Amino acid sequence: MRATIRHAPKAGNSEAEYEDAYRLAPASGGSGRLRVAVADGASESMLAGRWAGALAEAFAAADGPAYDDPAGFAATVATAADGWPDLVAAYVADRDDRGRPLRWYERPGLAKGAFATLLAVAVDDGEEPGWRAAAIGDTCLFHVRDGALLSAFPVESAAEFGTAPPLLGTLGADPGLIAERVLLRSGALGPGDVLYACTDALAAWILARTEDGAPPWDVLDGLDDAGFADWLDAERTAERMGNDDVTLVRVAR
Amino acid sequence: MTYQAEISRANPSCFIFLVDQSASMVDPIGGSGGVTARKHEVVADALNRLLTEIAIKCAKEEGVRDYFHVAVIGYGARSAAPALGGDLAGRRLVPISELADHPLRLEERVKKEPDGAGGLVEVTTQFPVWIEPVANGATPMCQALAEAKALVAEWITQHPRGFPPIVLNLTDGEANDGDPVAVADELRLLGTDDGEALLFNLHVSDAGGSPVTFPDSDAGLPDAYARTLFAMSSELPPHMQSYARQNGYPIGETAHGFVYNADVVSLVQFLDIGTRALALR
Repeated sequence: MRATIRHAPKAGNSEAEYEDAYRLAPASGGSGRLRVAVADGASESMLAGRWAGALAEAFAAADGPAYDDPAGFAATVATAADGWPDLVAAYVADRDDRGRPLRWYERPGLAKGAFATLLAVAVDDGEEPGWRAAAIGDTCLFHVRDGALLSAFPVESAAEFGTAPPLLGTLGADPGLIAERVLLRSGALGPGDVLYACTDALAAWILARTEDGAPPWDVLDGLDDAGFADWLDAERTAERMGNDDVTLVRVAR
Repeated sequence: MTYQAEISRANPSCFIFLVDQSASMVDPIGGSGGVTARKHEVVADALNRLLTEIAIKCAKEEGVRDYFHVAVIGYGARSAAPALGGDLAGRRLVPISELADHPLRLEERVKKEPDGAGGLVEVTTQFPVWIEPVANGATPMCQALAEAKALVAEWITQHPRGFPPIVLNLTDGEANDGDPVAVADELRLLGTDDGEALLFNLHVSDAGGSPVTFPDSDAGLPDAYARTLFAMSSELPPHMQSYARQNGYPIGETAHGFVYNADVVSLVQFLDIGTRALALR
């Protein structure tokens, strides 16, 4: 399998302000089994990018049940959340060391914790090729065969995107509730099939194009890194895509 | 579609707060009967909490992002004039990051919060203060609205495609420099490509009656001051109505940005600056 990654911060933001995250295991992508985790830190929360990174990290490192069992999914989220207090403590200590202690306006956000959406996909290119995916929120997976969309998960229409998707939080997460809310799906892979995992702004664009009868796959496949950035600029300027962090992981057999 | 423009550092919006600092504001809310909160204290507290909420909403790891610029105009003895003090004295529109870094002072307040084991624990939080209660002189509300109109006009020239300015007037409604409705109408006609400027009113009153939040009509409002302020208030745009409902306000299709003797701070949560930080439900 071959994985290709494109990502970009919001227009007007620096790379350091990019708050999506992605992890692949193995990182090279060149194996018969591949795990892909893509997370999108909620922009209104503090340290959202770090939480997205922690979630993606935990899922890339997790095995089967994280991808196809609600309790396994919740347990993997709990693994990421368990590390959160140490991560915040390290952040606060670093701010102190740099002579920039926390200000009054940062404390409420830190106390509330960080939030992110997550899509985790396990792809198996062995004897029974297929994928298993688990998601909370609006980071999406598209399964494409011969230029046609076979499956859109977990959001199925462009109209469903908004500013309040379901989110995984760092604090007080109830594993029972997460297990109840997580959405699971699987699919069989055929020869030449392609999977696209992406965060919400691009996912909304993909679904809008598809609904308009203008399949977007050739456009996306034809872009290299530099071309991707220019193309995003153009789509955002034309207001065909919301100004948001964008992440795309394309996996081809 | 209106009121859909992105609010970001590249496309900021602005808040203009008008705070009534006239002599009548010293009266207690709800008349006599043991109520101790006075109108000028209530509006100063509401304004400090609004500014706090906006700063917190815009806070990220390396400081407060300038999604909004904010002006506070006081009206009373000194006519209508910039009301921020300290390092911000005399300033009109101030980026929210600068405002966040320059309160007059930070007060320590003790709050009781759940301790996670069924009990309560006392937590000390910092509460910034930018505005002190003031009650002195006449009520030049028309002048204050004219000042807001000038600020709005200047802002929309610089940000013609942005989310429209929001003006919030905090008052007991007893204008004595003319009829404020005309200038309010003129203000609301100004706008950007994204919609007309929004004028909202917080009415603090000693007339009593039940608190009212974002009503559809002026039926049931206690007096002419309340009805006038209601008439001056913009309707809440659809997406703000939707957030109001999510925040538990059972409002109608023509809900106005008018609040009578009730909390107005939740208004900040009706604005979008990105994905909301809400726990799974």
